[in-house]
Amino acid sequence: MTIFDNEQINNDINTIIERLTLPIDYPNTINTIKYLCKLGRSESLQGESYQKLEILCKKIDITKRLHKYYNLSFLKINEHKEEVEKDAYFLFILILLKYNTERLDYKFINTILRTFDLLEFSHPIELREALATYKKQIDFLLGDIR
Amino acid sequence: MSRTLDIEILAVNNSTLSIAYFDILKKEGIIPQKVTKIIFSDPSPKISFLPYKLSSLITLIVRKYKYYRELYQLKYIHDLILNEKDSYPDYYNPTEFNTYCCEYEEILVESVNDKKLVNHIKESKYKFILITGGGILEEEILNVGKNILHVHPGIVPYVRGSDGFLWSILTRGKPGMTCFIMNKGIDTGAILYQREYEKPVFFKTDILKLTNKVYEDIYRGILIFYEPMLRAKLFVEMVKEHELDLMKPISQDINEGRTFFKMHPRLRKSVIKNLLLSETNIIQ
Repeated sequence: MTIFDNEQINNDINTIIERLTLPIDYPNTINTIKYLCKLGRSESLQGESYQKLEILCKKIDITKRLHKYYNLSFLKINEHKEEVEKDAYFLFILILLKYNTERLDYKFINTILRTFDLLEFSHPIELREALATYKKQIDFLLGDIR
Repeated sequence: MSRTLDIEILAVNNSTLSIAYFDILKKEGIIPQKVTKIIFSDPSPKISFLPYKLSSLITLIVRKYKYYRELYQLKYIHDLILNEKDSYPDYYNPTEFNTYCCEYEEILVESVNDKKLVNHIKESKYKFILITGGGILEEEILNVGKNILHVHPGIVPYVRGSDGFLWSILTRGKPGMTCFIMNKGIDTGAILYQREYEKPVFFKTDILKLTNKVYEDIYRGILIFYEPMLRAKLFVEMVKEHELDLMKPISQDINEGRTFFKMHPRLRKSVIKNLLLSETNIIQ
């Protein structure tokens, strides 16, 4: 018995990855969307991948946004300050959910809630239903208090 | 019987954390050698671009508003929480800092990283300095060769960062406190003393009647009332059990543990709801 439906999450990840426009690469930069796609496709989250996911969580928890590019130390680059598109935020939520299927990681849940806030008023129509379902599941997990 | 403690306390003016430290030190008869009251300049530097009179007025209104809101939240949480009653600091009639130390000074600064404060710490004759809140210190202050102590609401390395009290309850089941020597990392300094405490016990409350505002008041109440008390308690327990000079700080492995950030209001509500629903709570 898993907390979230892993198969559904993987299907949604694949759908999102297909929709995403991959930005071009620049030397000595981390291409956030490409990196998210890689994390979305990987089966396990260990070592460096885990650390980088924690860094991305920190970006959302503190700055409330993800940039398309970071330098190799995961710091923002002045020449490339563009924010990732909404689909990428949804992909990020799905990646965090994927690593919450076996046991709850409240730190990731916290970041998921913050990312939901970013999408609240502007998520693409096609994603609304899927987003609402995951949100409902999290609400249920946290106790449905209004 | 009272005794003096060879330390300088940098006490932020009007903060409940400072009040808690002094109240609990006084209850235990421990007198700090030196106290420096830190007063933040008026108007707030954040709005210094506005004309002086306007920015002063805004600062005054904001401070008054915060003051009355805090009083309300203090009262609210005071009536709601049941345990540790004997330790509750008297936030309403605080000890005047200048009446409870051997040496006293006041310093007016714009922020905790103000040059005046850096120089003050540099020139301090005390090896140990306790800062009672105020923000993240810059490296310059941390490199002046003093042991700057901080009590963090969490057992490090497992709970570093913001909202440590609630993250501790969520991830470890109870609040924990750590006193460490500050370094440039976030809560990564060498550990002097740490322990966990029981969860706060509440009067049984009908959670269905609680609005979001009430949850926020309880959260703020914990932050300004209960958490400062535990921080101060830990500090006083430490100095009662050990001589600061003889303590051997234990370095942290910075790769171990986790840093948490401000808790989302939704998650916060869930943690507070679980505290309110706890089996140990008492029917009024």
